[in-house]
Amino acid sequence: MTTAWLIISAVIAVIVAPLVGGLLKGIDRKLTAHMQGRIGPPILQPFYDVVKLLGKRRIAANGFQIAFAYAFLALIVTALVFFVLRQDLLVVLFILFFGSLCLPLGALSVKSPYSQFGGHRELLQFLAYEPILLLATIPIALKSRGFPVSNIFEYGQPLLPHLWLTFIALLVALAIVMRKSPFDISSSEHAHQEIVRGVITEYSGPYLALIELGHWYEMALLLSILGLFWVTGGLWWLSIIIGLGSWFIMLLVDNASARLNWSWMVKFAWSVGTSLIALNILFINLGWM
Amino acid sequence: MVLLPIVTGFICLLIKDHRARAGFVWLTAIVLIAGSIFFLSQGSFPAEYSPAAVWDFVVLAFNYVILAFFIFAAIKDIARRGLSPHNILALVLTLAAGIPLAIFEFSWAPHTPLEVIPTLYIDHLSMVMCLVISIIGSLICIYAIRYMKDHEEHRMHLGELKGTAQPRFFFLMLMFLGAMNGLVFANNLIWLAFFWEVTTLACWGLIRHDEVPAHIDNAFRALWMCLIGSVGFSLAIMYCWNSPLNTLSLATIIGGGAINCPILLVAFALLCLAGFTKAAQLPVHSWLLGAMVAPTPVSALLHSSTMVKAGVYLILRIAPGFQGTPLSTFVAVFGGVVFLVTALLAISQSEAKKVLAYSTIGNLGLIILCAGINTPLAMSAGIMLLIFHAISKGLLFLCVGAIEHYVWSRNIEDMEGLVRKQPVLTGITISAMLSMLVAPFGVLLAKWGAMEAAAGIGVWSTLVLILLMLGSGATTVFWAKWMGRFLCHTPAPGVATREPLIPLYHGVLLVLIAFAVIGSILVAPLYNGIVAPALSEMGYNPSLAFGTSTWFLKSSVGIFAAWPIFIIIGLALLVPVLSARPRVEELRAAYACGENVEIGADEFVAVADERSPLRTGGFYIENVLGERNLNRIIVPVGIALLVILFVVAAI
Amino acid sequence: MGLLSISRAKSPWLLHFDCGSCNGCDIEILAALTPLYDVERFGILNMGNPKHADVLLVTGPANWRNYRVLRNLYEQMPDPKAVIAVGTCGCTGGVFHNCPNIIGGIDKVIPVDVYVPGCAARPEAIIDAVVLALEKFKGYGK
Repeated sequence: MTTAWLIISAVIAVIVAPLVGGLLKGIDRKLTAHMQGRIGPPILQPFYDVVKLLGKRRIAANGFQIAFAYAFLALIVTALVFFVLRQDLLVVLFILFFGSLCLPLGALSVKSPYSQFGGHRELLQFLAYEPILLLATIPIALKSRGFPVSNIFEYGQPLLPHLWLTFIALLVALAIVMRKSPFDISSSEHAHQEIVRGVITEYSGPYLALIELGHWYEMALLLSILGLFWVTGGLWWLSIIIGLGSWFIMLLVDNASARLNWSWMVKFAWSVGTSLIALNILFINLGWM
Repeated sequence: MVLLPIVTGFICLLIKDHRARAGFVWLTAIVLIAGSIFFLSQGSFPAEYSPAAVWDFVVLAFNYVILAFFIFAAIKDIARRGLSPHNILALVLTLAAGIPLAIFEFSWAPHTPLEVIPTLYIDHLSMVMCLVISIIGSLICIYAIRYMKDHEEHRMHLGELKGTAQPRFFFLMLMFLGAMNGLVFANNLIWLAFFWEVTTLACWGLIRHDEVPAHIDNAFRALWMCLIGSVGFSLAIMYCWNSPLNTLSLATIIGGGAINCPILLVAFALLCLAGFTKAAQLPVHSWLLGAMVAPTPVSALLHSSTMVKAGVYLILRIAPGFQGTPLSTFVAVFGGVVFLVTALLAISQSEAKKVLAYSTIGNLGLIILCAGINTPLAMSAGIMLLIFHAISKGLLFLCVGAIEHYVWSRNIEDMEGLVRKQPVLTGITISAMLSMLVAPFGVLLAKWGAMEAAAGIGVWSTLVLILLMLGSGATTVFWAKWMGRFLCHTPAPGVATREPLIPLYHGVLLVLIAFAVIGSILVAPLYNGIVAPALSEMGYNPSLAFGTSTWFLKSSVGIFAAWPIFIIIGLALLVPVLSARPRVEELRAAYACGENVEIGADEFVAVADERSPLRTGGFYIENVLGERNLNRIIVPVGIALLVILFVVAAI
Repeated sequence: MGLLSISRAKSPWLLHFDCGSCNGCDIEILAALTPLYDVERFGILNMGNPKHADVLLVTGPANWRNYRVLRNLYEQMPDPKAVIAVGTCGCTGGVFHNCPNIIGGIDKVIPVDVYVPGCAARPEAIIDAVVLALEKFKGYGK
């Protein structure tokens, strides 16, 4: 992969990722509506929402909120760019975490009880999913003999048959990151109200649009990481199927379950995530995988 | 380098005038900083140096003087305040440390005092510590000039203090700096033990500086817990003498290695014990938490940047000695357990210095973890973590000290909304916290290195990784929570004014944050200049750690492109920073179900149309993660772990 | 019409506020939000938060206790916004007109764009009212 090609693909990724994220969100709402026996909004609805939000008059509770909304979007885009540039996977995750941290910090900077609750709950969600994402890089690195994403491409063999335990753990983490039931604790998506709107209560208008865009980029990045589990062997379209398949599983779980509480979320994520990944590493050691 | 601070400290003890004393502190600071940098650039390493035999006598004599002083202080305290677990244990443990040492020196040793060639052995690892001590320590002492003045004014105002105690304070601080330099240079185990005692003495004296009964208790607790380490030292000295190597030279012992000479493993375990107690690991972590009652420069100097670093320095230095043994794996697991547990405990604390203390213990556990993994990659991560953590944590303690002198409280809840009243100070504090937490700063870089180094196969490395990553998540939660408390404010219309800048506070803080940022950007030259030579002198192959072509840090398993990340993140954050100023008509009050009084007022309309203040608070989850609950589990676990340490070593 | 106008018309987010109503109209509004009527096909979502909302649905008359809250919520909504008074009480005060505590209809406190008479107003009428309010967005800013 020459440098020029990498840079071009980074630019393409930055432009295409929110389109993909928004479309997925629209299809999400449509499918959810059909699962609930109704018709649902058009597929392009999220784009209408974002454009409408961008056109609203700017109001804010304080200046930090605005700064953190921009920072959230900018850092997640940076993480995506680093990912496309085939950099070290741990570094990509660390930049992603820095970006994800800006959302609760912005919420915590407003003196409103709803915002404070939402911000703290967002930190607890972070506590649940961050270790799993970090730990998941270890089996990947063990298999591809290194952390950079380029190693996975050079490895030449698909990862999923060996690392399906890690994949399941990553699905759990994905559900928490996407804030889907049963993990929609910091701000609910479908019910639209959880402690008013939780962490995004005080954001409005264009700044809310920035956060929404950031979430789309985040989803695109995470689905791409899941797609890494099968990138070689000429079946490149399989990685897209894996990404979309995981997303669909999230949708099913979301519609089938109710919201649970944060302590269950953290315990579940930590216990299930670490044990699955530890088992995977153990099996790699024993040579079974 | 060693003697100058002790001498000037003594002079400070005698001088009554505030300004002259400040002048001596500045003098010491400048000499130390210049001297250490000069030494680094001029010297060829490893350097060996053996002073005249008379110094051995001096060291021997003063060692017993200090031990006798401890006994005397304990007895005086018992007489004055009655028996308490702490002073009894201090008494008993001083005897336990002193008697084996006396037996060794006066009956076992061929002649007294025992000479070891070379007495001082200085390599790049020592120079790393020396730079940290001299530069950061001196900056802290300069900060302390202003801090102690405010501190004493406040206490006199409260009627607690009669006369100034600053002479004794600065004597102990400066003497401590000298002792630390001696500690990192020493090769003779007896000299090392002596300087260890001096630092314990300084620690005890500084914790009880305010002479409040609770503080005196905490000082004795620190004393007996550090004395456990001294007992370890004495026993280790006896062990090393009895071993086939028959020497007290640290370099020879490490060079011999536990692989060749298994009986040395017990000696290494004893030295690890000394390091653990000095670094306040489990189960003796309560002394560091108790020590937080001391004035903030003490906390910054002793309990984050330097003294506790002496503990991990010792473990890093002897790490080549037990490379490849089960002891090494165990040390790594121990460090990981400490890291996770302290990160969880820190979430539940609402006192600022206790949060910082737990974070310190956790990061020291992380360095110990790196030492335990014992590969070139891990060791370089450990050394870099040592440097960057010393800068960032010392800076954070100093920031908290300045904040404390503004709000006169150490509770995080009282710091809510500080960004409005003290923007510069809050800005520096938040930057320091970010430097501890996020890419691309140095601490995160070292954490990244540790994770990649730990990614080996094997059951134990998996356990270490799990502890490391769970702990990493927990640390993010408490830092972000604290940052959020700083930022939580209701903007009132009107221009926010900057607070008056105090040079000795803000100047020092700005210098330190500049170090943190510049160090993180220039991490590759820093690595090449100091860390790589340190590695090779310790017997590791630096090319197996990081290659530093084009200023990236490239290891065999990963890449950390330091300066591109800096640049890109800096650009990414440029827009947010520039846009963070809303116009007045854009401001709206926070959502309070329509019951806001007006924009800028912290109130809402409650029952009977009464205006009620709007109050918010943070999550502390005390019932799950509180000290009371967790300590019940942790202390027995910690004791069990230490027992296993020796069992592992003995086998 | 530009993309912005279309988007505004296609994505109205509601804030529902019960100003003093007997809850009859509120029940009808909530019925309109159920899958039976499925207003999400118009992009309508019920946000509980004035900062996220475009359309304010108010039921009940304004009285001396809650007019302040009503105005506060109206001011916390960013432009462009529309207000719909649902039910006869919201339009003119209805059954409670001229009672001691009552100021009158909503339009005595904030500007109203669409009036939905009825006691209680039917869900179909409420949906029609929201669609009518969208006309205001289409012409906003010209």
